[in-house]
Amino acid sequence: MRRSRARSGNDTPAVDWLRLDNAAKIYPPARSRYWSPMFRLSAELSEDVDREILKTALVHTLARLPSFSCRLRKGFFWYYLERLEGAPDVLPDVNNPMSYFNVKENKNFLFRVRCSGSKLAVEFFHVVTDGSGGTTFLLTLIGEYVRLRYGVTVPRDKHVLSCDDPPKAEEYEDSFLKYARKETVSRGERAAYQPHGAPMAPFDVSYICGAVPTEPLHRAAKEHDASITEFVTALLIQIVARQQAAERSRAKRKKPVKVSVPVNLRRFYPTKTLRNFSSYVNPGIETRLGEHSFDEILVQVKSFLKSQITEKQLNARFSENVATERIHVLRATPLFIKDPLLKMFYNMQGDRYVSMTFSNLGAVKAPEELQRYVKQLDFTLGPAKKKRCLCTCASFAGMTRFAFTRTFEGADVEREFFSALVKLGIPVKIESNRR
Amino acid sequence: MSYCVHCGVELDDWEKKCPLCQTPVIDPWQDKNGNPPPSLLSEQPERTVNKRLLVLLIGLLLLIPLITVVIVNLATTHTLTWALYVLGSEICVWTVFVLPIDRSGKLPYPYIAIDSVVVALLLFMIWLVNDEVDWFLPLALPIVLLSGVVVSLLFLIWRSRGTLKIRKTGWSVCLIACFVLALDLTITHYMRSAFGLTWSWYAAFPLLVIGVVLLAVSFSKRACDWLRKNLFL
Repeated sequence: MRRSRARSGNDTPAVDWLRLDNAAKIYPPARSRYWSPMFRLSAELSEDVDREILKTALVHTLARLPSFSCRLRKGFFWYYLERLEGAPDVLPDVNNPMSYFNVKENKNFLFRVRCSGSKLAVEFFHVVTDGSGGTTFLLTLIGEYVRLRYGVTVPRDKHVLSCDDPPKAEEYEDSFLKYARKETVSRGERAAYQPHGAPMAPFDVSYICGAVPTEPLHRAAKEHDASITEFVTALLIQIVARQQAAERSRAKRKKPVKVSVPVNLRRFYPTKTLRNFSSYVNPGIETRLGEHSFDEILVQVKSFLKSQITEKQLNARFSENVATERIHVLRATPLFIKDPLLKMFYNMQGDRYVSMTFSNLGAVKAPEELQRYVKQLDFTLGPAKKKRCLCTCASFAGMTRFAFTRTFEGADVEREFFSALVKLGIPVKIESNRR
Repeated sequence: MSYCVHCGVELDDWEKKCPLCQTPVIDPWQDKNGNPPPSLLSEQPERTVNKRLLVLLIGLLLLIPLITVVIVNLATTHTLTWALYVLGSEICVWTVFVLPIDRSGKLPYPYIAIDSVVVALLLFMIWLVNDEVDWFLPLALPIVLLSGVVVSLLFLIWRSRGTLKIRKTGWSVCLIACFVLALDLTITHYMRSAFGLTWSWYAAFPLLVIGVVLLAVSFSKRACDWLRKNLFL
């Protein structure tokens, strides 16, 4: 990593360029002209957003978090991130966010800031960061905006960084490389059944969001002696398994139903990185063995997550990816050869092993001074390359918001999911971009 | 506050149907005056053809008949003879028609120069293969170079900004008349080994007259207005 002195003249290094982290390496080859793996974090503020103040806050935030201020470039062997000056434009919000992303638009920045009324959203290309890093960026941006708009100084927090502080090198380290060990486990799995339907029009995407109070949801999960992630994952597996049972094709009925659950690796390592540092596990059931009751599914999900979400298992899992990255032949292969091969690999393998994704950002905590100005917080995944249903959830200020992203017709998964919550006595409020 | 009678979920006041199951919302107490938030626009990227890829793809497609004729030619005569014509023609077609697809705003003159060179090389190859009388240097090469110069000049005329179309047409017609005369001179010199004009008068004279008239009109505002008034489509 090449470093230069920060513009402020202090001793803190600022990046000129960065190698992509281990998880990000697959995303540039996987993307197409109109599709890139993205996620969006948005917040509804207490008042309409002042765009001019937001632009200033964005400049300050990027000076504090320089690893976000970069463009994607092609080297001879690998892609890399190159430092960019300035800040991207603040764009108006749209009805179909993340339906496409072109890295050459938006002044070459790898994220977009949108605002409309009191809503403020940041959409990230996954190359730059993951959900945890994105949350830090959004909350730091809101913290700086609140400071400029209302003159309130928000105390520093895990996710709210002070824009007066200089950038820190540990915030843009590749923690995969730092913590990877020699022992690995294979990633081989059976292809899973995937819910499907008639594809929507190009660049159309369905977002259905359900807001539920966190307390009754937590209580419902506790009644089954499970966490919210375990409970919701089991519920999603049951819903997809029901759809699979109605399939005519025998081959489709024989496939397992699995849900991909991303895991934040920061829980296990003393890292402060704001770049990608998450892995995933794929709990599921073998539906060919017979019909599973909800309790049976939950037992399997709980035991799987308990056995797989351990430091050793996760380390072996991401060490496998790091070991692949370190293969000398692969490293020495020029990018123009590697690029199409990695794209082909992603297209053939990338989405095959899971029926859907459930990404739980967890409970986002912000200082009280900030919480006063933020009404709600949303976390949404952009559409997957293959037509797949994705579910995310984030809890903030006593409310948990589930967001479903889908690019095929038919809201069966969402309907069954939210109806199940209602049957459990949990009130659900629905919002959608479909009118 | 409305609820879906089918799913049991709460909906926004302005929802006319449930987003989950499409069940219509029938609520007599619903606040009909409640304003929904303004509809957001859906963004669509500008879909463009990847011209470089298209040029490459057409090139690859042209390789299929080329490889076929080369194999057949080698299998039947054990040497490359007539397959060379296909090779040259395909290179010509690709250079003249396909390569400019990826021009994307660049100047046309390098392409015209490349086209002239490729056409000249094709004719040179035909002349070499046939080993006939000497027609390449005195006839084919001057005509190809002359054509390249005339096409370049036509582009120069029509790309010039701020010039009236009628004046551009006048210059173009005069240029074509000169081309016809030069063509006649070259052919006559090749056939009779002497410079002179024969058939070109019949084409060049009317063209020159039309060109000069158009140029004269283009310099008179009154004449231009008269033409515009009487000859508009």
